[in-house]
Amino acid sequence: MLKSMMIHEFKMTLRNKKNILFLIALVSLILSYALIVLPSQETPDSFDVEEMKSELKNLEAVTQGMESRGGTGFGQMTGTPYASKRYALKVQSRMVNAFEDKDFDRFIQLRMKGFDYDFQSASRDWMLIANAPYPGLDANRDTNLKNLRYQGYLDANIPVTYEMIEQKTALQTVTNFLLGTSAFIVLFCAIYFSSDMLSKDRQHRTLLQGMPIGWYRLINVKSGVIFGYTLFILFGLLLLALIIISIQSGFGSLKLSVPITLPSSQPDDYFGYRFSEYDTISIAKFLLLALGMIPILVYLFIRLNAILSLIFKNSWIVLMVSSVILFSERIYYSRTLTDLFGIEISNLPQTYFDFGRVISGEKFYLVHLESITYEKGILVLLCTILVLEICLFVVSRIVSKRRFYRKAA
Amino acid sequence: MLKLENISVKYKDKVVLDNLSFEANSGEIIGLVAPNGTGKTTLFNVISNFLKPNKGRVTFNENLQYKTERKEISIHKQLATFPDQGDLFEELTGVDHMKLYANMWKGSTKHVKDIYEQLQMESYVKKKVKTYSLGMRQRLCFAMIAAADTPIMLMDEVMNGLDIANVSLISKHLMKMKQDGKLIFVASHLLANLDLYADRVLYLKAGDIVHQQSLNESTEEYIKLELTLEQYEKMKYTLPDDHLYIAERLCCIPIANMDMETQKEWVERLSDYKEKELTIGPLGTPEYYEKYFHEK
Amino acid sequence: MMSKSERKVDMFWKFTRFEMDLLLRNRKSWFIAVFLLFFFILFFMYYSQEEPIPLTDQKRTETNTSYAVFEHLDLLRHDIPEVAEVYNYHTQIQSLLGMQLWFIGNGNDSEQYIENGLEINQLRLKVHELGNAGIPDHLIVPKEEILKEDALLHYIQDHDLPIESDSFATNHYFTNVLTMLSGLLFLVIVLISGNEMLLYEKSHQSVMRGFPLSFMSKVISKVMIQFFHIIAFLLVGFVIGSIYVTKKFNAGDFSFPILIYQNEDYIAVSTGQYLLYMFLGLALATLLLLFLSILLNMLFKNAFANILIGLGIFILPDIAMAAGFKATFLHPIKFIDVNKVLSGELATELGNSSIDYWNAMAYLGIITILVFATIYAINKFNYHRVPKDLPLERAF
Repeated sequence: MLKSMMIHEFKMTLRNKKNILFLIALVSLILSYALIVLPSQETPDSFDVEEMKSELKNLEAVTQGMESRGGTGFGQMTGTPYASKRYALKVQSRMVNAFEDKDFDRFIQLRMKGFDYDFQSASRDWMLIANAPYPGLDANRDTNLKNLRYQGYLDANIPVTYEMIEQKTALQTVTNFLLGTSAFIVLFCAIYFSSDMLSKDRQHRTLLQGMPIGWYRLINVKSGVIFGYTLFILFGLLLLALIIISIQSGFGSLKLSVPITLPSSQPDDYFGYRFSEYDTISIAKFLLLALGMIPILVYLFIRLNAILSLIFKNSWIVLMVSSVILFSERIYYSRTLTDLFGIEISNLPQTYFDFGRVISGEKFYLVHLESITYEKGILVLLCTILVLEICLFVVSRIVSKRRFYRKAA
Repeated sequence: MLKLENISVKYKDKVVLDNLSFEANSGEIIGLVAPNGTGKTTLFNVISNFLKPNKGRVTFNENLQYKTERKEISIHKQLATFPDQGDLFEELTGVDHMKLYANMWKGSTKHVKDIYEQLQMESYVKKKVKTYSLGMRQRLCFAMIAAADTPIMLMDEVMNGLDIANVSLISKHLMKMKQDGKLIFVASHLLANLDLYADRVLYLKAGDIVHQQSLNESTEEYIKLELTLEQYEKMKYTLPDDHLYIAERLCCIPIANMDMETQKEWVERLSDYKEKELTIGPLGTPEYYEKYFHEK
Repeated sequence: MMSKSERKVDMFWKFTRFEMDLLLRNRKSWFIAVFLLFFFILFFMYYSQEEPIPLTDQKRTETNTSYAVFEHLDLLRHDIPEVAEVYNYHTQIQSLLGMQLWFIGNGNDSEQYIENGLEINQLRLKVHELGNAGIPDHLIVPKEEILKEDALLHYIQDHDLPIESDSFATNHYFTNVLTMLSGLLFLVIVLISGNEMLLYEKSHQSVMRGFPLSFMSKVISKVMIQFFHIIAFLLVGFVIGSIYVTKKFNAGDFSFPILIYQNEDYIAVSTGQYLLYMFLGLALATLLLLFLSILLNMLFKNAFANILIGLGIFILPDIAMAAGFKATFLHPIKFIDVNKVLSGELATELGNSSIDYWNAMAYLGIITILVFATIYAINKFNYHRVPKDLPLERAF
């Protein structure tokens, strides 16, 4: 009985025109990204040989001028411009050579030297122009993470390719997708697929109303089926993306590192401010951590939609309300806001919808709230699910099967 | 007023209507009889141009045909079709629906009240449709088309789900409409009910009209007797050549060419079958239905 | 007795009234109405928690940023001629900035402030002509910014307005909220609101399809109702929101300038004019999207397809851009983001300097007519089509 109900539901979900359309849209999005956008995209890590060569020429001319003037020494205000120019010239011309020789290990080492050099002047400018509470810290973190990622290429003990440096390999693309705001698409899939799981049946009232299965139980069966379906689809899309990108830019390696931000390990405040620490985890670990959080979030939204469906009985409203909830953090988010109506935001579930940033520690760093951690996230989300379960149980008693179908449109 | 010529509708391997033609005039109620799935609804859809046939022409008032949208609209101004129950708007009231139809065709809503009073719908007509029972919905559908008050009306499954009282109520209303000079098509499975108000009954089979029965003209009378197959086989060869044996159940002997004596003789002969009922009269719609559509 | 044409019009309005009745009983349309009503006021409430930065502070930051340029120029100045020239101009800019700070503060002379500002803009444009040699990318003042500042100062000078007022802040809120709404969000709202315009008839087919009313008049009636529904709630929501803002900041002067992009240049227009442009643009975009919804309904007969395909079309130019195609013919798709057209952002983003308000409006108008013509043609075609193998079933 239960089994045949599940099979029926699964078939209906598979054949649901609305779901198929969304799948077509997602697949075409993946294809157009992987085949059209990605190959021609310039990432911040891309390297333009021609540009660097012309800059080398400039540097050459400037240092020549300094030499002929005899201005190669130390100045009170300017420091040691000649020495630093010469140094940059050497590093950069070696970088060009390493790149042209495809010796990427050496290229990475040289590039990391360049970061140190840039940092001095960049950090000051950043202080002036960035619209952030602590721009200096942001600049510092940025450099640290970049360095860690580059160090990761060297430590992974694998042949590094240029695609890896550009972060264009399949695994890196997927990781970056999950690390950013784009990860909301994963959750939106769950919302979209489950938005009509109850309300679509209202059109087949006479067929379904009389099924000898409890109302609450039926909702559970439907949630379960959608849950399975969503994960199945997500896995399929992941596989598709991995395969297509692998063919073009290579698969990447699970050993590559994802830089993360950690709360300070010092016991006490340091100059009245707790500085963050930086570390890396491997892509494998990152994906596993994400895998721990995605099913919880998917389940959460499916159950939420079940409640909303019972209340609103209209799939469009469910879709819209649920999407608003998904993006609800955006309504109040600010880098200086750490509690909402007296509740610390680390206790709010919507803080953890952004699961990629929670794993990488960016979430806690941005608002500087050390209580936002992966473990706490899991805990808060599970508590939320518990609350939702109780709500759903109560609502399914109030909006009984009879009441749900009564106003069938 | 309405002429159908050589209408054919075929899907890949299925012929639904095959070269069908007929004519109809105002002041006529035409019954349409056929088993399920033999093209009644398709025929209605062709008449209203919801379905464009593969072949054939529909002509109204001698010259109007479905050639452009403008012409379609002028035809539709004279033609209303019977709505399905499932297509009603649950959130609107019965009066809303009737007013919609009245406005769309008649242009005024003054007569709406009379109609729902005549159809005895006052008690519920101002409530939302979602509270209606099946019978109430069916009456509403009829009230809507009555409110449209067009010269031509196509009524598919008009008596569905109605109890006896309501069937007679609507039958009466249909007869009144006929007197007003409407051309009404009624597809129904209540065959005896059709005899009450229909002028003609068309029997649709294999995509064409296999029989046309006029009910108001004097028709051939028969002696009708129920016989089992066994009993029939026994006396088969003694019966006149033009007799009918319908649906392995009913034996009918035409009396048009008989004098009174012969008639009496037959009646006496047949009255041996005591437990069976013997009647004299024309063949009704139910008998013709069985004649054409009964298959083993 | 009514004449034939009178009856036709009468019937059109009766049908429209019926459609409106349905709209008012539809949960989805109420949800959209509520969203539009509260969108503006909620946005203003949230946004007004942040105090606008005073002009003095803005100038101070600008002066500091500008000063940082010297650090980069110092390293290079004597050896490349362009850099030497840039260095020269930049010292002048720096000193003028300092003067401006003085004139807002103790100097208290807004006329001089504006004079200096205009001079700075001229110098900055010269620096641009020299290719900003020696200035790192993140410190270059973009050309658009210079032109905007120039237009703004001219407007203040011509209309004799104070250089700092709370009405600037109100303008700031208006542009911000419209930036948020226009484009993707508005597209989604209109697509959702219009996605079942024809389709719902399918589930009431036997009631609706025999009406002696032409398809086009039905379409016009539907589009009209949806259009007024959206625009009415949009305007009411905006009025409620702006009453809140003007009360809160005590600044309801609608003659303060907002910058718009026109004829490859920036001009300043009054707030009132800006809002007029904006809502006219949104209205036209709404009309276009509603007709597009009808067309998509006809072609795909699915409400979800309406939204997904609508969104798909909208991101087409972005995909083309990201893939490195110029694809100018796709640009008009983006014109429905009226705010970006007005602010000139779209012109910069797409690298097409001819995109300004009237241009975009003309395109949107033409596209609307094209979509309308397509709907008309498809409907006509359906009447002239001769069925071959299968009989033709009417969908709507």
